[in-house]
Amino acid sequence: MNDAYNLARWLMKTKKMVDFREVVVLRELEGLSYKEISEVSGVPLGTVMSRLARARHQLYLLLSDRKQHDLL
Amino acid sequence: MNCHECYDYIDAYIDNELDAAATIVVKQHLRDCSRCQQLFEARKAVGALLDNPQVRFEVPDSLLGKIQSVLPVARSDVKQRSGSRFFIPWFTVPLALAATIAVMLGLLFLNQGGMSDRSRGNALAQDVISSHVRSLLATHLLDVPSTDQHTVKPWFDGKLKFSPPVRDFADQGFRLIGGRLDYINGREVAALVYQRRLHIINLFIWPLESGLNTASESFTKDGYNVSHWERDGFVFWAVSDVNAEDLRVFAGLEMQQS
Repeated sequence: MNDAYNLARWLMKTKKMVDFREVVVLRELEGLSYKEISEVSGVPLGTVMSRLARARHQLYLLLSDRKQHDLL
Repeated sequence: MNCHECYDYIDAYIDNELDAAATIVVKQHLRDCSRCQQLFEARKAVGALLDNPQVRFEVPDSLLGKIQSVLPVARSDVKQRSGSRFFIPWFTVPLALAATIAVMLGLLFLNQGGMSDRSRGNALAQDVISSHVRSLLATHLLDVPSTDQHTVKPWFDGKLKFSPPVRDFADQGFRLIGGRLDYINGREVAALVYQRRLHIINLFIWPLESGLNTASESFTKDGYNVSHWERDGFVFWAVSDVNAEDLRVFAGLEMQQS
């Protein structure tokens, strides 16, 4: 499995999940703090946190190639 | 702290975004809860992957230049605002880069190739059909009226930079009646004209290396049947008002090696 390929696919595949993509790119690729992401995205800090959690969870599922997760 | 709360805080914990008190509480919970520890490991694995330099690359200066060149208003706007009292966060530039990276990644990896081929194919199809219609309307169907392939083929010599394969399929009901020069998508091409009963088939031919080639397919557009394929270094586009089955037979004959 080519992880970079999968990541790229995920970033584009989730067109309906623009919010997730935005938060992942800003945090993981650009290294912005939550507060900065909140300012850039125009959403509250709590929303940044929950979006990031859900986005990372989606990424984890994708990268671990698991249909279901058993963590939560 | 329970697991649900831990889930809410785990990302902020990893990103060092929690205050000291919350950090200690999460740390404590992780020590006591194997399930959340697993979640923590999973998050770290994702983080490690995202640190992988493979998922990043430098945006070429040429691309940045192109983007900026088509955004004159936005750029001047930014400059203007920089000089004003408006505060421009330092991360404006990374944000633009992030957007660029996302777009680049998508262009690179999402199967956009097929889509661009398709749109290119559509443009070609329109061009080919237009040429076909023009050839019938403007009494310019044939530059070289001949049923002899040994007359038609040499006629193209010196008029084109390539020598198109010319074959007659009269025995199979597709009679070669001549050829002409035509112009498709910005280049000169050979057009062979065949007759099927009262129907005219235009067969456009150009070399494969011209960059106009697309995957083989047959379809109907604007009431015309169109079929295109590649063979022996040439691209073939056949268009006619003949029925789809006949055109398929014609394409099949042409595709056979001579």
